[in-house]
Amino acid sequence: MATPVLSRLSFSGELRAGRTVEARWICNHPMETGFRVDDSGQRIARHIITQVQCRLNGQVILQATPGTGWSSPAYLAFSLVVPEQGGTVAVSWLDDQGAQGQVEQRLVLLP
Amino acid sequence: MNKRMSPKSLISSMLGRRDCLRLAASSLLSASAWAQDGAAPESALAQSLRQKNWSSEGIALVFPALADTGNAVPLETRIQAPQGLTLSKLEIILPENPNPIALELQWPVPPERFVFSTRLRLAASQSVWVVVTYSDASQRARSATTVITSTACLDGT
Repeated sequence: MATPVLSRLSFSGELRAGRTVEARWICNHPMETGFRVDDSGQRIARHIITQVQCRLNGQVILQATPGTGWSSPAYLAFSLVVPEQGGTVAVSWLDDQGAQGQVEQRLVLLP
Repeated sequence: MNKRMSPKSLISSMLGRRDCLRLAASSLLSASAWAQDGAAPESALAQSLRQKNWSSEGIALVFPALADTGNAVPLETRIQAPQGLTLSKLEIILPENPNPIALELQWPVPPERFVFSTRLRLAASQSVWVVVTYSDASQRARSATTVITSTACLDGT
């Protein structure tokens, strides 16, 4: 049974309207390069994330196309400006074997 | 009785102490020169990136000069577009990796500035290149060199 791919999204900085905060996304995808061999000398098949989309309130704000040079666990932290009414940030990914996942986090504004 | 000389005594009878020291010093020098020549040659991609006349204004990189392992080397990048321009595309290039393009970023709504961090997998000690394309199709780039003590990509253990 394949290990489930878990991901987490969190924010760093003051969640106030108009402020720039950092969104941190981490995903325990194996990101197998296809160049490694196991203990028995067999080549380990390539298995990497090929697309990442970051959305803020449904609108795509960042598209990433990773290669084999991305580490495992996959990690991406990026800046974003907090909207007036807050909202939701979602990060979705798709890998070269057709698997996909998504994580969402609400931007709850400070009073 | 025919006394046979040992190699050590034969050498000392032929060479003086100063000659021996001179020989030892020259062999050390040649060994050091060999070690420098024996370093992995730079790839053609790395050479072509280095030979381009890039401007690196507005791009700041934080990248460790030395990393224990190439499996997850942190990279922090801050980009500010020139006046009147926006960011169109960003590429992180690892010239000594089997697949040099490590990450490509694009923005449907192009920003003027962008800050991001990620972690890269390096196959060898090398210079990491961040190449930014702006809204007028002009490009700027900055590189940072790191030395890794243990390579990634090849070991399955």
